[in-house]
Amino acid sequence: MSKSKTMTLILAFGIVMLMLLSAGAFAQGGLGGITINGFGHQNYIKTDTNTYVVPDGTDGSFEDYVMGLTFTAKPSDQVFVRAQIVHQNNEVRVDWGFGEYRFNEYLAFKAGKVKLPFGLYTETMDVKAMQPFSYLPGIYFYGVNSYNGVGLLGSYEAESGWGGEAEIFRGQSVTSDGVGRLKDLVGTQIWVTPPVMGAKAGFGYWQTEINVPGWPVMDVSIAMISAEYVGDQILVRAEHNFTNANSEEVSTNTYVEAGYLIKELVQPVVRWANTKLENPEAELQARGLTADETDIAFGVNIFPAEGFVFKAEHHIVDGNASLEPTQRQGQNLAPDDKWGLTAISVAFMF
Amino acid sequence: MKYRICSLMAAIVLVSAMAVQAGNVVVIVNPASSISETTASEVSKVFMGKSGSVGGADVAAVDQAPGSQARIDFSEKILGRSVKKVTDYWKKRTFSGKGEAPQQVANDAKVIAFVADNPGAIGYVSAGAVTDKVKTVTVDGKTEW
Repeated sequence: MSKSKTMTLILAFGIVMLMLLSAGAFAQGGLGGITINGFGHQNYIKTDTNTYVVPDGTDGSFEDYVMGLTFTAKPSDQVFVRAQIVHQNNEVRVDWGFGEYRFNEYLAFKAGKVKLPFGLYTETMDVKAMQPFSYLPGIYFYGVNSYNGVGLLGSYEAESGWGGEAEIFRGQSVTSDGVGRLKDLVGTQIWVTPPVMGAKAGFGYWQTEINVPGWPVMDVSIAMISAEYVGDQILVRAEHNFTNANSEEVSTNTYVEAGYLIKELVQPVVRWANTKLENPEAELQARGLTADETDIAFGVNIFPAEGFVFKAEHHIVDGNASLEPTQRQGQNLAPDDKWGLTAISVAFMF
Repeated sequence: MKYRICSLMAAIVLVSAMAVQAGNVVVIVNPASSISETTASEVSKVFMGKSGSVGGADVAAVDQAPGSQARIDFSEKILGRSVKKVTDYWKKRTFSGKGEAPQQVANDAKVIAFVADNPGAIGYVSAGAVTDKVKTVTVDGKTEW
């Protein structure tokens, strides 16, 4: 057995043991004041073409998995230390880890490696047990998940039921493949919650100077508008973003997804997602890309027990515009423009 | 015949009353706390991590395990959402590094013990479980929910 597989098994065993114990000793600060939570998923993905979407995609791949542990310590009433460690792509890494100081119940300062607060999914991108689909829409293929720097988080809820949360941050980062360097990363995420339980709407924005070896340095900015309603049965989400490079719009992404939970056991889900590239057609053709991509997905989630979910989904994709994240450069030379993806997974969180 | 119908109706009323009683929860604080009344909105804010005080007094929420009947009743009647939605909310906060769910204990007896030992604690228990070690708080004018 390879070292990486042994490591995966050891970590999986450790997480299962923690899950078993979490109902008692570890949960809620039972381990020396440190709260431990965890999550994970194992996905089987098969594509009918465009192998590089996942390794060996057309033969079916088990390479998409994550095991994660989240730690929270509270050294004092106002100070928190938080960290998340994940095992993914055959390596263990610190997904994020930072210190937080709460001035009061409305305002907090954080410093360290922080998950990028952007849109509905970036911060919990790897927690598939919380997502209707295991394969995210193209809107999240921008390849930046966290920043090293400082952030200020404010929140308030009025007596009327209206509330909000706003976060501003500044720092630097790298693309998720570790190749691109992001300098002077500045951004914000604002959420407004109306007095309708489960509803929220938001606006996110960040800009940076990105340096990818072999490419000219670019000033990139992304803006995103988001809305969701999560009721006891109904789930509806929609997001739209605009990406600019050197002050020119290069792409827009939109998706709408919905689900309906039946007896807290079965949740059919559907999604429509679209990616549009604005580059001149000749440039797109040189890279083998279509200017437009539409992904229609349907699936089902089954919740046999608290924190567990079995997921199955199928995507019918017309176009390949979303298949150009940084990490796939060099492999994305002649993508087919009509393709499908089927995924079956088991996910958990505790 | 009339006697039997009356007996049957009385039995139905009694059973219904008992059933309602079994599903009621009360919000409790430490006897030393200055809090004696509040609103469901204020309690909800505390248990959803959006506030750390009730009526100006600092509080720390203590929750019950998701499977407990008191948790189910409290969630649906005072927080206005299912236990699953509340746990999903807290999981999202936790995994995004933005918060942590209230301290959680197993049952009514442990909530009472916790609240009795911690002057700033606020919790909830089944109506029939309340003892004189804790103080019941009126929520929106009602002592039981």
